This record gives sequence, structure tokens and C-alpha cells, in this order.
Amino acid sequence: MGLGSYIIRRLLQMIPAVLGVTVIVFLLIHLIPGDPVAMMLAGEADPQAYDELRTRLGLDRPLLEQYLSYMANLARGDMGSSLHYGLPTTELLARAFPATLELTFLAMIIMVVFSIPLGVFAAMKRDTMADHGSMIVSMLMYSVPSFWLGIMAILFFAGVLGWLPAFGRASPTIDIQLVTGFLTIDAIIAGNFAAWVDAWKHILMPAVILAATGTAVNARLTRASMLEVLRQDYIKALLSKGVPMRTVLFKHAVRNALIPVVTFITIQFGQMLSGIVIIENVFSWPGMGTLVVTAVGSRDFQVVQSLVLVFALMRLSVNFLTDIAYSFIDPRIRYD
Amino acid sequence: MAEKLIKVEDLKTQFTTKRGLVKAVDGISFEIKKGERVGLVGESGCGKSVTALSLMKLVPAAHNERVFGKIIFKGQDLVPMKDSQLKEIRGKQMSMIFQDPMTSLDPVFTIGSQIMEALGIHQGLKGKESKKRAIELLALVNIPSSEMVVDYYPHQLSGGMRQRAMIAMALSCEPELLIADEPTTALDVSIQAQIIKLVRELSANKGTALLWITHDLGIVAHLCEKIIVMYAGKLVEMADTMTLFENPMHPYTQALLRLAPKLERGKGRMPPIPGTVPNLIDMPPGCRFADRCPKCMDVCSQEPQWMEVEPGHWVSCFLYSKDGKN
Repeated sequence: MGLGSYIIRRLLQMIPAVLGVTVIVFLLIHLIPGDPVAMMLAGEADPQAYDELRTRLGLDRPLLEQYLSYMANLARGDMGSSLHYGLPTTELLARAFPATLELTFLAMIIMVVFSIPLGVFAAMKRDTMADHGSMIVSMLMYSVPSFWLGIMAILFFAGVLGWLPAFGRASPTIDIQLVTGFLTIDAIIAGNFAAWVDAWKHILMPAVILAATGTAVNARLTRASMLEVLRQDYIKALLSKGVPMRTVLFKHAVRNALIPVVTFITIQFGQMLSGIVIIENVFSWPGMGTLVVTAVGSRDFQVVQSLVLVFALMRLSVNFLTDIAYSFIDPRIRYD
Repeated sequence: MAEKLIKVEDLKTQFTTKRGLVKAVDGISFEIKKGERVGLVGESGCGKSVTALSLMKLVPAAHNERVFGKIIFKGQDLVPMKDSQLKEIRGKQMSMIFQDPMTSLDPVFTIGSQIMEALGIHQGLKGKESKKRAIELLALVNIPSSEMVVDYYPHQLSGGMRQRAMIAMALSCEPELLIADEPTTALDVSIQAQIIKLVRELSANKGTALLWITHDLGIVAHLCEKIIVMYAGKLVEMADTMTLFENPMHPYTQALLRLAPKLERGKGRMPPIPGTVPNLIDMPPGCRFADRCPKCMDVCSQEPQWMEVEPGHWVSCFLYSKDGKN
């Protein structure tokens, strides 16, 4: 089977998953114990306001009709509006989503760029001080809760050393035109070097902390996977052909060792999406993680609903991309 | 007499493990002449695979292995060589096929690219030229529709076909010595026969010397001109095939030959060799077969000499030693 048809098949397989997600997200508001409208109004006992909100949310209509109109709105890009902010949810998302995406992307890049070479290095230096040292460090990183690590980093780098800002995405003095929503990229587009440096200073600490756990675990996994591969007969067979050790390691062993690592990176992305709720709050990062906590706190259910949907879609997209990546790394998957 | 290709002198391969020093190969010496087909026979764990890996300097590095002695290949000693020098020999002048064809090919590269890798390293072939040669090689080992198979991944081929592809790869640069480490053990009997026939033909056509490692005396009887018998890390007997089968001298060889199934023997159970192979850690001094030997004598607690008792017939046993009982 070719790559094209494989991609199409995987895309078709995503449709039921996406529909399933919308059903669960839609039902969210009905799963809230008690009367959602009463909870949203919290204390304001005005019956007129109560009826108004109930009608606006469509809760007076039959369930199926509610779902269909929810889907129809969604298709038009209407996700309802926030009671707390008095803004359409899409507008809130337009601000928060790029912030979260930028942070997650950078954390993923940090994780991949550091963990895989570290794991390969440790496997090659097996049972030496360098191996044990790096594995102990990664065990420590894995064991420490990321919010604590975040607070310690703020205390040290922002408080003691004063090198990095403690919170936010940008300094208040920075004003640039948003194009991609990624400040590190938009600053380049705007040609504003000061803004670029400022954006990096802000994103560095939360991204590193967000990546820490995944990097640690992934390095250990890469090491184990690499050692497993190096034991295989084909490694000996390659050396017996006269293939230099360096080529055996980097062309053959690493590629085979990455197969389980890629699976793990996907799982790690899921973990990052939950980790981001904590990290964004620790660093006051104006992303979806901060927004979701505010929305839950202010019982802004439509916003919560939309955020859950976006998180779920992000996860599904990454699973899809992983499957495509697999088919490049491991031919056995595409041809099965 | 043909020129000698490889001369192994007092080869020792040892591993350090948590339980102690394993002397997997403990001082063996033999020669292979150009174009000669030699069988190395012994039971599981006797050190024959380690011998094969030692010759290519491929002993697993995980156990702090050490190789002592001399491996003189075409006048050069391989033992002190570094990887950078060895890669000029591996695959080009000496290559190897392995026991399990299911695991000895890299699963994520095509058969063709794995053959072309060796061609690129040793012959500088690239692109179309290299692919054309890979297809020729696959055809040479009787793989049907080789121009398609060249783009297949290992998992798309059967065990027998993979072993053929391995042979094509090992022979791609026309080495002078092919080491085969039980390459037919994982294959069924009919495929086994085809592979043996193929290797024999290719070896005869190209004048490739062969070291065939097996526990199956039947295979080496058909394939090899000379047989070396190994037991617990040491050589016990070496002779040309006819001599070894007609006049086995070492009690271990005699016992092995008694165990080879014969049709004319008829019914009844085969008499096994009593006892088990000694532990390769803490090996007792003296002859290693002594505990299981029906002809064991007092002198066997000393180390027997590896000596040529008749021209070309080597044995390590006090039964034939002048300073022993005889």
C-alpha cells in the first residue's frame, strides 16, 4: 500500500473519533451535577435572567436538537460566548491557542532534541560514569513535580539572578503586529529584534520546565531501546559486511531504536497537554491552560467545552502525525 | 599444496561476567587454505560460534571480551587491528552469514539497499550501477524475480529467501573466506539442502574458502573437505573428511559418529554420551572430556597436547601420545 492511500485511510479513521469527541464535549454541560444554569448564574436568583440564559444555551430544547444545533454552530465557527469575559469563545481562543501551541511546540522540540541524543549517548557509553550520571539526573528530573521545578526556576532565574522574567508572554512595552500568533516568529516578521529577544526570554523557562519530565523519561527509553537494538544479530551482520561502527550506530541502530520512542513521544504529548494547565498557571502564561482554569473557576461552561474540544483535537492531530511518521521510520507498518 | 589463507594460533576468547571469567575459546589452532571448505563441529555451547565471531573480531563488546593469540589472515594478524583497519577486511575479504535469517537483516531497509551498502563501501559502486549489481547478486543466489525483490523489505521474504539474500550480501564483494555460523539451523530440511547446494556451488565457482559451523555431522560430510571437532572451548580432533569418518581417533569424535543416525542400524535407542558439557567458568585442569570419556586414564587429569599423529590428522588425546600411557 502506498503512502497516499495510507494517509487517506488514517484520515477516514479519524472521523468517528472526532465525532465521538464532539458528543462527549457536548454532553459535558449536561454531566455537571445539578442545574448548569443555576450554577452559572451562581447566587443571582433573578428568574428572568435564569430563563433567558436557559433559552440562550438551548437547554429547553430536546437533546438531539441541541446536539445538532451545537454541531451546526461549530461548523460555522461559532463556539458560543463567555459569560465571564463577555466575548465570543472563538475570540478568546484566537488569543490563547497560539500561546499554548507555541509553548507546546517549543517544549516538544526541546524534548526531542535533548532526550534522543542523550539516550543514544548513554547507550553507547553503557555502564560508564557518563551513562550512570545522565541516567541518575534523568531519574531525578522525572521524580520532581514540574510545578515545584517551575517555582524553583522562577525563584532562581527570575528572583536571584534576574536573568529571565517571572511571568507572561511579553513585556508590556512590546507591541508588535500578530501574524502567526507565535511571538518568536511574529517578532522576526515585524523585524523587531528587541521583541524577539523578549519573547525568547519569556518562553524559555516555561518551555524547558514543561519539557523536563518528558525529556527525562524519553532519554531513558531511548537508551533502553538502543541497547536492545545493539544486541540484535543484524548489528553484527552489518559490522561483518565492513560497515563502519559510526554508520551502524547512526544509520541503522538509531532508526530502529526510534520506533518505540516515537510511540512514547505521542503519549508524552498527551501528558504535556495536561502539564500545560499547571505550567501556564505557574508562569501566568496567557494560553488555554490559564484560560481553562479561569473558566472552570467562573463556571464559564461554554468556554470549558470549547477548550476541551480544542485539546482533544490537538491530541488527535498528533496521533495522526505520529502514524505518518511511523510509516517513514518502519516500513512494516505501511505494508501490513 | 594450496596456499594458506588463514592461520589461527592459540586463539583464546574470554568474557568477564559477574559469575567469573568465561573461557569460551581456550587456545585453539588451525588453518584454512585458499578455497578450502572446512567444517567446525561441536555441540551447543562448545565455543564454535564464539570462534566464528572472534575470527571477524565481532565478539559482543558488552562483556569486556578479550581475544588473545594470533589470527593471521593473508599474512596480517587481525588480533591487534583496530576497527578502522578491520573494515577493509570485513565484508571485502572475509564475510559471514548467521544462524537466524529472520533477525540478521535490518528490518527498516530494503534488501537491495543493504546489499548496495557493502558494494558502496568496498567497491565504490553507486546508484544504478550498484542496484544492477545487487539484482545480479540476488539472481546468483537463485532468488526469483530479483529485480522486484531488490526493493522488498526483509519482512516480505521467507526465511529461506532471507538467508539467500544474506548469502548474496556476504558474497557481494567476492570475499576469500566465508564464515557460516549454522546458517541452516533455522530453516526446514528441503530449504536447508538447497542452501547447502548453493553455497557449495558458489564456493567452488569463485574459489571462496568456507568455514561452516554446525552441530550436524551430516551437513559437513557432504559439504566440507576438512573437519574440525571442538569440545568445551578446545579442539579435540581435525582431519580430512574421509579420514575423520573412517578413522575417528578421539573418544569424543567416536561418540559423535556413533550418534549420527544411520538407516541400517535399525530399531533401538541411540546410546547418548553420558554426562554433560563442563561449565566454561572454573574449568578443571586436564582433558575436558575426561569425565564423560569411556577410555579415561589417570594421565587425563593433565593437559593433553594438540598434535599431528598422522599427516594431516590432528588429535588432542593421551591415547595417541608418546609420553602418555602408550
